[in-house]
Amino acid sequence: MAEGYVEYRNLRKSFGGLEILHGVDLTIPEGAFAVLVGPSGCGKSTLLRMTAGLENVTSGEINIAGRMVNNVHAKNRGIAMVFQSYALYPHMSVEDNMSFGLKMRKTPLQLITDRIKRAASILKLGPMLDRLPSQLSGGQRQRVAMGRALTREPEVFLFDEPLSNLDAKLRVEMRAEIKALHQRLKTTTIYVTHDQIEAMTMADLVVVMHDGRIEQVGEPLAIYDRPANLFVAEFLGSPAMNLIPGIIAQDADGRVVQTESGLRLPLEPEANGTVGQKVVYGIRPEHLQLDPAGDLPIRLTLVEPAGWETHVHADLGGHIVRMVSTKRVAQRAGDSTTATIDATRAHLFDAATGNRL
Amino acid sequence: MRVQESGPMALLFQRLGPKVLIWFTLTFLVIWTATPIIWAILSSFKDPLEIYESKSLLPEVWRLDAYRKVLSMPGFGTWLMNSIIVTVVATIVPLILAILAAYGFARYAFKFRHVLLLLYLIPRIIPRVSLIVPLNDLMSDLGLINTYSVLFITYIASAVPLATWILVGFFGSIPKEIEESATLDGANMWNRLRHVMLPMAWPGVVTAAVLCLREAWNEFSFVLALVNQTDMRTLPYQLYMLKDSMGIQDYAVYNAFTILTVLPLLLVYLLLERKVVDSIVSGAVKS
Amino acid sequence: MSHTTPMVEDGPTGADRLKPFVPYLLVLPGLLFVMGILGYAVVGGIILSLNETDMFMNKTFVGLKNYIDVFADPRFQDAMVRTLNFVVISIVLGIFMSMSFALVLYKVVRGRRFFRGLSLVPYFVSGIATAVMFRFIFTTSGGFVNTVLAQLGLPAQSWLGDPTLAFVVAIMANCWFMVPFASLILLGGLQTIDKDLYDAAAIDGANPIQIFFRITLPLIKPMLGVSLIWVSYISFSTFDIVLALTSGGPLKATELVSIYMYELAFQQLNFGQGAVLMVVLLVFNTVLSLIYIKIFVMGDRRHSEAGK
Repeated sequence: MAEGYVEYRNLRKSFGGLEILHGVDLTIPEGAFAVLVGPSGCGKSTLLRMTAGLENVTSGEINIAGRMVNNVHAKNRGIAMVFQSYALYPHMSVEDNMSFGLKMRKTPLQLITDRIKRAASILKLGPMLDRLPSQLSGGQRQRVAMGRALTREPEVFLFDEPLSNLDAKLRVEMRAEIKALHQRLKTTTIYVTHDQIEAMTMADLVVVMHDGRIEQVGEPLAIYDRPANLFVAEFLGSPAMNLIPGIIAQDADGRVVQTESGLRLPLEPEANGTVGQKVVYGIRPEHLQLDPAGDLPIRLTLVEPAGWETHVHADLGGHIVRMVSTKRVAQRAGDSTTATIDATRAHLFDAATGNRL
Repeated sequence: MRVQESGPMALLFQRLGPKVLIWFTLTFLVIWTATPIIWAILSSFKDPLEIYESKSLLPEVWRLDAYRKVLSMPGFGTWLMNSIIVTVVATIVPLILAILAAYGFARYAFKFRHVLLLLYLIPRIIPRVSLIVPLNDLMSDLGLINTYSVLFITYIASAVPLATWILVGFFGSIPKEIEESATLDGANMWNRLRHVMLPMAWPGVVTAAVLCLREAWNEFSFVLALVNQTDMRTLPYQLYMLKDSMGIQDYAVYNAFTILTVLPLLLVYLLLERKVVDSIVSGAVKS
Repeated sequence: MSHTTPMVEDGPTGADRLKPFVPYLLVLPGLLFVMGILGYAVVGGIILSLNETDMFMNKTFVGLKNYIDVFADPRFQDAMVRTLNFVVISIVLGIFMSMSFALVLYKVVRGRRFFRGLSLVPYFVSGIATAVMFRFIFTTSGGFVNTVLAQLGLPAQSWLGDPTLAFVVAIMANCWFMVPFASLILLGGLQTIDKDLYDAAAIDGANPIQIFFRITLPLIKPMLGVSLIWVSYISFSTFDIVLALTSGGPLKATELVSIYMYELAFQQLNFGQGAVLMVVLLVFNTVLSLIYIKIFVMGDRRHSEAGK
């Protein structure tokens, strides 16, 4: 396996006596778009800030391009960062914002002009170069922040929740723009977000973090299809995966998961797990479908038509489950009907450890 | 209750009362604030005898005699220069010290930070006048009476805490991410201060400068206690001494002198009024 | 998050962590300078107050003798009572005026900038100039007030010659100087209040007076505390205004502690007893400030934390 471009080895971070990163090992290949995702307080921003050199390393190693950078000053790490608040210099024009870093590095004037021109054309900032940040819209500021990072021509781009201050529509647009930018420049990128949709749509490599640990690393769909544990299963996907505790039991047709209320949930023959084991049965909303010929009795509690898909909440043997159907749903809340589960898409987790079986 | 309140008179009062009250208070504010200054200006253009007669508010003839007399006082140039020198020094030096200290307080966590910050506050509770007795005693022992140095050090010492407290607030309100961004851009501490913190905190720097300027220009207690030679006086001190130095009180000269000492600082204030008023109103300046 | 909360434990950026002494280098020069001069003066003053001095400033240690003498001195006792009167009246009048000014400056729409700018002008006039201006407002012949009275056909008054009137004029001059700053602080407090609260209270049936006492006043408590500290501090240590206005007269009617201190030390050359009065001024100011801070700042902090 090739040497990773950004590598973390048993990286730890403590504030005061409180350890908030408990030994992170991670390798990000050159040119990858890696997304660190997790709930707030999971340590993803701290990891990013340590990469940038804004927080020091308590123990362990950070390597960038094969060089250990623990004691390298932030400005010499070859990184550029886009902040959540953009952190534009409010008293400088867009052009000065973009050239400040180059001026601080005593870059020749001609080179500065060239780089700004290039960044401005990539990000369509040309007409705004003389304006102050306060005269720009949220999306424009976002682009200036990216432009500022771009002019530095860094080896690694760092993004700290860059889209969270934008409204929903703009967020979708900028998502596509950042992704397109990466496909054009192929610069290694580390992107922090708490939004799992951003992680799924943008990443080559998703890193799910929780409580200062990495829970799972992989391609977005690989993680989506095979979450390593209950946390990842629940965190990725919207609406979230349905999780129903039960015990593996032997049925006439093979093994099933029997819930406390006596419900029998189907398993495919190849499924891991032994009879009598306590498990959590996971099924994504799109793999649990309303089906008049189905064998699971349900009672609908909420029907939310969202246009091209319909979200349904239903009571399945005492558990509220979520379903997503791309068909229109004729039934209403309160109706009783039946559903089927696509057993090949069922996930099994050990009830004690939470790990995938 | 309801019925009474909605009677015709009460209704009229409810409608007009607040407006009348506001206009009354506002008029009072303007008269109260402006009268002493305007009266001093009017009197400075009058003939001394005309003032004594208390006949009219406006001068019969607008005369510049009093200003001519003030400007031709033998020491006026010296007193003016003294005031300018101590004010410039007692503005620039405290600003530099305060910018450094405020940056340290606003941006670093360190042992004793809180205690040291409080120590910066204590001098503001000490009435300056109370220090004139020991200062005179101590500075006499050091042989510093009637020197610029003694005015510099006492003025600076009393201005530093004021400027520091103003700037801590302004620096602290600048998002840390902007400075982090500058760090990634390769700016060291001096560059961050110069290119990011100071421009962004500019209204605070201006406010601190104007208030230091004000303290130094108007300072009286220290110069009273530490100076007794005529050629070391500052303008406020000389203004105070006018009372004793003029046999027959020439009120016009007195008023002209007052106007001339007040005017330079008022011009500075009027020039920068917006930033100063905004800073005080925003709560950034507390005594 | 409070705006003075430092960023991380090791400075503006982790990048600067290798220099833990940096904050001290930034903070200490100014502080050492200030404490060097002012601390030296305070300590020197306390030592001085324990010594007897002669005309040539030779000192002999006498313990608390100066304190005993000063406290038994009827002239000091009068000055103390007078100062307390002066302070209390100044506070009441000053806060009333500051609050009134703050309220109209808050309410006024047209010319708002002008009125605000104008209101602060006295703050930039030196104490001596303030006193001189007030002298010429109230002086018997040629004063503004008597000129106006003459125009109205009324007899002239000897404003600064009458003990009671002179005391009142001194308080007015003091208020003229200190009210502007206090009212801008209160104005700042008023501006932080969410305007929806006034609408909500009006809908709840509160009249303007109730709104002022039930909504406005409690919400600007911290700012009220700050302006009270300012007003008391200025009134307690008023010196230049009164010295240049009346020199403590007539008949010592305006001889405050600070004036008597100056008289003792610089006219009678009794520096030891003068230093005792310095300690008195210091202690009073400190105690007053601490009381206000405890009532307004701390009390409010507890209140707002409980509300979270």
